[in-house]
Amino acid sequence: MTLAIILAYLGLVLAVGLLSRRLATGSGEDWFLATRNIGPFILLMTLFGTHMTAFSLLGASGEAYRTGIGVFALMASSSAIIVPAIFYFVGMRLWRLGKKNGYVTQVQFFRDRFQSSGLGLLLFVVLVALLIPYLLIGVMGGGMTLAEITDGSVPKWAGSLMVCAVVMTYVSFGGLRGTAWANTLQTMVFIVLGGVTFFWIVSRLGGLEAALDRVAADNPELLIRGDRVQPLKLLTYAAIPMSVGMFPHIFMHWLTARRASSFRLSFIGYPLCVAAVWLPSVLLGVVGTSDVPGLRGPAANSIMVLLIDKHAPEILAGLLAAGVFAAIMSSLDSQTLSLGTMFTHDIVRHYRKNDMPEQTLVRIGRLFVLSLLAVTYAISLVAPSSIFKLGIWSFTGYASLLPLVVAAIYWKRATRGGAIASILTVAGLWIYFFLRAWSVPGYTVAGTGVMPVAVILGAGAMVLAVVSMATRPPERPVLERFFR
Amino acid sequence: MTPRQLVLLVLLVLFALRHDLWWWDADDRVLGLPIGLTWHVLLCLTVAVAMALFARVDETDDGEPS
Repeated sequence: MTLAIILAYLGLVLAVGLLSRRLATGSGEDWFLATRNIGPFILLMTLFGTHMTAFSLLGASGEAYRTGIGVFALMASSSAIIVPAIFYFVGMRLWRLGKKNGYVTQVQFFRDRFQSSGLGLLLFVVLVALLIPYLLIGVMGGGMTLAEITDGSVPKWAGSLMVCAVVMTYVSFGGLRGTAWANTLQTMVFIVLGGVTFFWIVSRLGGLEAALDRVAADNPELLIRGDRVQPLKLLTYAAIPMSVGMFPHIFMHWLTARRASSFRLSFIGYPLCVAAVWLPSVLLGVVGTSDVPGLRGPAANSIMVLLIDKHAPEILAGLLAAGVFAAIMSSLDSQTLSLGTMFTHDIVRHYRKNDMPEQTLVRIGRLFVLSLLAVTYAISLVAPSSIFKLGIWSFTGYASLLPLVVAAIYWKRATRGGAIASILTVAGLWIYFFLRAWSVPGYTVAGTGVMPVAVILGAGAMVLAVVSMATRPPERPVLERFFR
Repeated sequence: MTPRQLVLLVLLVLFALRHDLWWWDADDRVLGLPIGLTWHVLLCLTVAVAMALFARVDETDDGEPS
């Protein structure tokens, strides 16, 4: 039954992705950017679905099982404030510049703004290096979830293969339009199924009040922040969602907006979607501590699956698996496509001296997507599960690069030298903290509660400012293309 | 104050309110949830309302870019 529901769901996603081809114009701009014609609702669903991963369904409940309600404050309310702010102050401005100057990728924008091909190459390497572990986590997460929900009757390799095959098909054929349509369906699926799962399980536990009463009796410390969340951690964790400002896949979706006002629904609806997804996940994790006690470490991440096993019919397990697949694929598709777009535009087109027909670029893009997913799948078969720890480091890297884009669009005095120095500082400090923190669970800087991202971001911003002031300002004709 | 500055100010205030040290160890329940959770859910809703009220989109952005 579970497998049948998942297969039916994957078939539906594939059909929606492929159906979008009927609206395609067949041009390169359509495959890479959906002809910059995406309306408000699809833009919101796509941005939210791309940004949220399976962590918001399964990982959040596992984290709440260990830490308590503080997880919502730490991870959800920070996103609900920071992300709409970045859509408003950064996303809309980049959309306008992208439309005016014809950008398709972030690297094109930065190359043009700072008049440096080398800076573009450096940024390409950093952005891609940060995105690859993220892809791997999605592919491996799909396989592991399916194996868990089906009690191992579907092996991990088969689940990962399904995810890769479906994403590869609709991304290759539908391009960004297919991705946006499929994402819209998938985002609605995981929002609704998260809510259904919550109401079903809580009703079986005698209602929310009774379930929370049991937690208050068994583990009262989970219903407060107490010493499980340090105040400095709450403050500095807010830097993590700043990564949305530098994600290549989010940048790509910003450029697809039909007009500036298409963003309006996104910055109003995003915080509501965050609450709708995270509140059920966190509450299920907390009430699960009384219902399924004794889970230690990573085992707590299975709490939602265990609650379903215990209280819900098999059909709900199948639907939840579909919801998890939806959350995984709605990020994986955009990440894969953005890497394909960057490779074709920032490397192939940029370094080839003669012009290349758009159809050839699309073919190269498709081939790249296919190869990338094949390689990611192959690595997922041998990668250790500790790779999941890389997720937070991927966010840390992107968030630390945020000052670069803010300076590029708001500070005329930002220079090429400042930008390069900032990227190198971020890369160096990222490696330093990564090596220090890798084997220390819950690492914060000197145990103060300060997340490494806050230090790296601050240092990157400072170096950008100091070096920019010490180097020659950009030429006026260049600035006129970026500032009113 | 420009609309953008107003949005920035409102979001900064909401960001400050996110650091609710005053509920840190409170175990009361409000609207059926622990108050430390209710506060943050209400904060999410307030961000949506604030963006709807104050975040104006410059419609000149729709046409030819400046």
